[in-house]
Amino acid sequence: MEIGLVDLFDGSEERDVAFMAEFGRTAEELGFSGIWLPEHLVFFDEYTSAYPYPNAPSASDPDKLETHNKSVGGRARVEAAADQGLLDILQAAAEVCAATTRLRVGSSVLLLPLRNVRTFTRELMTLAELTDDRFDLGVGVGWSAEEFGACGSPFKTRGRRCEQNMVELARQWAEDADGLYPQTGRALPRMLVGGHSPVALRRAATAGTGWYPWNLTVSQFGEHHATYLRHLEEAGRDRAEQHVVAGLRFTGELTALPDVVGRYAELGADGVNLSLRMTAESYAETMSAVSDAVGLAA
Amino acid sequence: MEHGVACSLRTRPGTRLAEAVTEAAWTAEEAGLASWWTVGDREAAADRSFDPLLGLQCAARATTRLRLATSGDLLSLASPAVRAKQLATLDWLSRGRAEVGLDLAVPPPVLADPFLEEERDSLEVALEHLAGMRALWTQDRAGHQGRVLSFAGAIALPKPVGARVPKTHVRATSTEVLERVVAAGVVPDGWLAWQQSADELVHGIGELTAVVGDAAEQVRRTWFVPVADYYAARDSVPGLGVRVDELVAVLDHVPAPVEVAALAA
Repeated sequence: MEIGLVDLFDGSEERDVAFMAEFGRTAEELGFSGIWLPEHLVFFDEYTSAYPYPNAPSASDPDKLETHNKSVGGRARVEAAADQGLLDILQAAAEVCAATTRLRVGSSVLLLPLRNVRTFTRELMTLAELTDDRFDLGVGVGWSAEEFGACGSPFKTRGRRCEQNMVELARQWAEDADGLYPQTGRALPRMLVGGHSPVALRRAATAGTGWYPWNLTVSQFGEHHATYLRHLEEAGRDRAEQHVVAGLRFTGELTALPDVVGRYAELGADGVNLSLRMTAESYAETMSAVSDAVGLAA
Repeated sequence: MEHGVACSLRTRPGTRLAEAVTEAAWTAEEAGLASWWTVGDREAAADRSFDPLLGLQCAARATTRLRLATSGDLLSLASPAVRAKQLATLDWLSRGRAEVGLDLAVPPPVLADPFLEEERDSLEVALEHLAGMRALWTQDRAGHQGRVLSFAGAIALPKPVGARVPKTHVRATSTEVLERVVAAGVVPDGWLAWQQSADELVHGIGELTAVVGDAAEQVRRTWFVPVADYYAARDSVPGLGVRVDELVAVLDHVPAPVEVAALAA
């Protein structure tokens, strides 16, 4: 079972380049499979858009949801500092991989509709080269109309653009009919689709190479995974060639973790990603405790 | 006059990209070169290069002093918030050494986003994207209101070091384009004579002076020449009759350390 950590590098003095390297090496030494990085290009003080994942599975009963995020005006808010920064996700991934040898780095998730696939393909090929194929591309459609506005990208059509970009990315990687990209011979990175809406499940099964739901209870995960499997079967695709990672914000006692992880695994997850919101001061202790709790060092 | 190197990110057989850039950039710094440039988006596609900006990150990791610059960003092709974050991150990683070079000519159609249907004036889009990026780089709660880009209250962090606008160079272009750049409130920090002949260089600086007047004296002039012409160009500069601040050799591959060292000799 792969256990990944979702955490962020914010461009602060506290989390400088040396911190990023040490953070990655610590995760690697403690047996975690990867570090997964969230993406936002910008944040806002006020949103008209609601954050779609404010409820996370309870540690004591992962079939129940607990609400951790704040709400303003009845709309859930993303969990972020008042002046939240985030480094560019591809450069952050390259930096962590440069300091490690085995650890994978993933996007949790990259906002693919905001990219021009013609230029993004080159970026992704370069990252695959720099990381020696250790980058996993989690993709999503985002939720903030404000963010899409600042990016000059249409919000309403973001789902369609995401899928178009996924299909085109795979096509260009395989064919490169226009002769635009380096010839590396490397495989397209895993492309995991975030979310669990009906269209996200279909997109994951037909255009992606994996599925990456967030904050589902164990039973919700099981239901949606069954739908995902049905889409795969209809598309004539082999589950063994896909990769499924269940991600969640985890705030409970670590003693509950083995059961939570085990139940996702029983239902078909290849990996579980944990967002623990570790501090710069105590991340090593937290990682060590989680590693012990789920037996990664064994 | 300072000297620099620009290259496509193509590697020699048997060499890995990160190691090749690391060795070459480190050698450039040790040999006394002033700058490490990428080729532009246009050349990256034509040369089947790896991504210029991620290559600059490798150079940043290997050096402490070299200026790190793009030479031909096609801003109309990218989301301004994405590009602003990429460049701000490079600046953060390199402790304030990032510079930006713009290519304001019409992008190759093959690089256009295939899923954006509207016909757009690429120069208008590029200039608005630049204005949006400058707002994101410098304002606590950034905003921009324009014809192709509108937003308000955006928190974009990290900023470039010092919350400054990284030095912004413009590739030599026509008088008409330069007039539109200036009308948009942008006086370039630098003028890039990209693979131009000596005559074209001199003519271009004349056009720059005609449009921006005395401010042209404050604009850094960088002359990019194919590496095969580098030494002849270096010898010709004193006789050009115009000031050249930097001469840059352009290679279609990541140079071996011995090639880099030769440029400083």
